[in-house]
Amino acid sequence: MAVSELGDTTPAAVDVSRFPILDSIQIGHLRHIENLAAQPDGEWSKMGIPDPGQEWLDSYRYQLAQMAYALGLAHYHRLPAAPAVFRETFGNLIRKMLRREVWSYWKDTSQSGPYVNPGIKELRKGWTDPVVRENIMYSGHLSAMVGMYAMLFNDDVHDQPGALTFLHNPIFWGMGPERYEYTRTSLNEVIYWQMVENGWLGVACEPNCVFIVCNQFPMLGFRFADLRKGTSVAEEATRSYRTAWDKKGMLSAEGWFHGWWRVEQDDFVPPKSVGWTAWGGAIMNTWNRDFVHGIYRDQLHGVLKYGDDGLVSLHPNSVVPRVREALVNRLSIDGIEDRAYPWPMPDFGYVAMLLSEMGDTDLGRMLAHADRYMSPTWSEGGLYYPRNDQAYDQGGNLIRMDRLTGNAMLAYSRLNVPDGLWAMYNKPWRAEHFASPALQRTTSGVDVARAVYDEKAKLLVLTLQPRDGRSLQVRLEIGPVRVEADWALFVDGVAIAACRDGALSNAGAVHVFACDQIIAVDLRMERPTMLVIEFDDV
Amino acid sequence: MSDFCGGTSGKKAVRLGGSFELIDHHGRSVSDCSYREQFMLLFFGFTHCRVVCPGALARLSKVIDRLGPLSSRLQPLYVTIDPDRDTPEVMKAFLEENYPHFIGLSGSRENIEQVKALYKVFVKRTTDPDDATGYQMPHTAFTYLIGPDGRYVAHFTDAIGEDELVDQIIRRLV
Repeated sequence: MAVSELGDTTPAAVDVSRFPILDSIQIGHLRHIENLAAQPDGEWSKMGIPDPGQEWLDSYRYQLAQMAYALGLAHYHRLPAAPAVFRETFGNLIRKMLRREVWSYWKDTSQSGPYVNPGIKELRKGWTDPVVRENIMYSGHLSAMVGMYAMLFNDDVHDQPGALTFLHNPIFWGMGPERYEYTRTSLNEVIYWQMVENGWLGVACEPNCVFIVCNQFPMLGFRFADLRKGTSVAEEATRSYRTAWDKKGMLSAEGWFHGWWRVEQDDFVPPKSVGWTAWGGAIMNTWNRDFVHGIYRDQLHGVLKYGDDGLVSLHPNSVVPRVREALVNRLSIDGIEDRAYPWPMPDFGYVAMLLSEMGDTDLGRMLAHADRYMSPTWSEGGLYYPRNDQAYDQGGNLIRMDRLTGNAMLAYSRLNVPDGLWAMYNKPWRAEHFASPALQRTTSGVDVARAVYDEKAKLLVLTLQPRDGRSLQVRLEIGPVRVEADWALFVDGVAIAACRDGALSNAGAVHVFACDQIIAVDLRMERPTMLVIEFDDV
Repeated sequence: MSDFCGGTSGKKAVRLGGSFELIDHHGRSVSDCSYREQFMLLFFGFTHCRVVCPGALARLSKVIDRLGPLSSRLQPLYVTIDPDRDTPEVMKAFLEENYPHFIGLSGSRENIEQVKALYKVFVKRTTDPDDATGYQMPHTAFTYLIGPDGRYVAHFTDAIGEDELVDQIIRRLV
């Protein structure tokens, strides 16, 4: 394109409507996660939970991990050409995961106890290192998080010596710090050998307690690490795990995953609800898709509560057997309820997550229930569902909201696509993806609603908008772009800059320059703005 | 081959192998130091095993045959996880008849537990009415390769093909 042509040309036949765009709700979820991840270390505002010991299912570690996975899905499926939106926030979540308040519960929990092991005669001596043995409910998530980060951002920063360091150094202790250093690889190695020692039935969470759900996350970690190293640990692990559980039997009388396997007693504790089944199924779908798709509706039988208003919530676990029986006998389920049920588990979020992965249309109706009854709240441009410890309103509508569901799970469900995690696991990004142009950096204060590179058309399409309606000066950095590549930049359909045979021409109020395989664009942004870069080659 | 097999991650977080004291199927006391001139090829199992051990020992025997002269650098060892039934005499009879490349190692329960722990071997004793003595011992089906210096080199799963196993072992022996 000649300089004289700038300012009056639109790219030929660019129909951007075929590229996915985030709606304001999805952007709100991402913004909320970004807000939480950007809080100063030690600030856990909007993440506090009833349990003071970080032991329960809405603990920081689960919130952090599920928020990270939500980011991963949004990046992979919704904004694949915008690592700038996700990299820092994802990294912040991992950094917070390494903070002592997230994992220090383990020093107590590692002592075991009669609840987790009725055969125990005296407590074990506890230990600090949260990943060296057991505690897969923490280490599995950390493995998945750092693995997903590496796959999404082509970055092995967490596989460097000491990248995953646990520091236990109470101020008034005076005995010197305890420091445990790992890398992504050594973390996975520790998990792998524990799986071997347990005959591939999995690694314990609390001592003596092997949960099916918690052993799904390290499979993600193995898989993503394999991609970085050319190994095949995930294949070995999932094959062996499947064989071991085929012999053992994975399902309870309810058709759900067993609550947990008690190693020493070699028996199963019944599931507390459908929750861990839903959560586990959503992850297991990555490597066992036919099984999960084939069974999940039966598992949810009598669990989903279809309201007269067309919305979907959940029956409390205490009445699920009665609901199931009534449904089987074609009897009315009206009046089968238990408003005293305490909803001890984040089941609403777990089930929403499963439905999102299954591509089930009931998800929309669950989210609609959440929007009507669970107080969706906007704060600093972010959308979340605030904690509510009350189970039901006066009309009998489920209103309880835990931090995991409100901060992470519903965001995850809205940002996921059918078989979304499956796709990330089975069709991960490889070198060719990272060779394509993408939005690498952007000024803060900008929301990205669309970011796609169309390999066939050689188009990078970005839709951006200033946050909170504020006009601001924006710097965008796009790359990698070969120095000798020919390209033309259009802003809201108007040609603004072009590069031909290494010569850059520029027009209008938008300043563009190219350096080190990066195209930098400076512009004033006052409203939603679409940028299209048309490449002759990259 | 499994990918967590040494040499892939720099500093190892998991230590495999170490000192053991057992009795070979000739009734001699042996230790990990007894085989320092050679690589040890370790497989854990029990002579009453109906599926895993016969398949693995047969396959490993073929692999060893295919190594040719290189096999002299290798000492195949079959370590029992069932010392109550697998006395040195039982192991000798079992191995010399069926898998003559292997030397069987048995020992006290305590010493067997120790060597199992060194290699993170899973064993679960289960009742089995079809077995004459009433139980089976499902177990890990890994094959471990230990260097002449006594250090862990690699382990191989039962899913690895025979050709690949030959290649992997040769790569480490030469």
